[in-house]
Amino acid sequence: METLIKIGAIILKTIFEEIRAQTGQDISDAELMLRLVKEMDSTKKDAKDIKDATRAIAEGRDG
Amino acid sequence: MKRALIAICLLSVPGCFETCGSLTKRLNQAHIAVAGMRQSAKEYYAEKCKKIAKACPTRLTGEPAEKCAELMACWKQMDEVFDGTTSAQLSIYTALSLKQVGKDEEAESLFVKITAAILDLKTKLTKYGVLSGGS
Repeated sequence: METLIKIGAIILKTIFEEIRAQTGQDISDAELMLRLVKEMDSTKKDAKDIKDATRAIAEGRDG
Repeated sequence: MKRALIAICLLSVPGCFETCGSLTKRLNQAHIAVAGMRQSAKEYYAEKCKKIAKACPTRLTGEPAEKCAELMACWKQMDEVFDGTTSAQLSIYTALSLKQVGKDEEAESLFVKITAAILDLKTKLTKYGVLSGGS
């Protein structure tokens, strides 16, 4: 039980440090716009990749 | 998983999410929250649609995947979620563009809509089991 609490505390600490690191950083408008464009591109690619992979499985072409 | 937890943590403090820091900083927080949800959705649907595809009768008949209704439903739900993340990201992008041309007030008013869109997305992801491991 004590070990579980310790692990939980470590995980929470890591998450909060990550949040502080990511949200506390100064970022320019241009950099943020670039990140948004990359994210939107990744979304399109991810959807296509998932569809392609699962299509192959559904059609029995996955080996 | 870590990104999803970060997204949830960010969304669980909406007061700060809406009012802390400069507009760019808050838009960055919104971006991080959406990116976390997008990543969770990607992992969830890659696994869920794969499981469904393996059970499709078309695997044996050689018919096109479109004949597998369950897989089409999985794709449709994934598209709906990804449309939600892209829409929120476009709104963040628009707010930044407005800020850059000096229309700070309009950008600020758009942030309220962005927050609502993100909370809607969170509700949808919870309903679909992406964030809580449900249906």
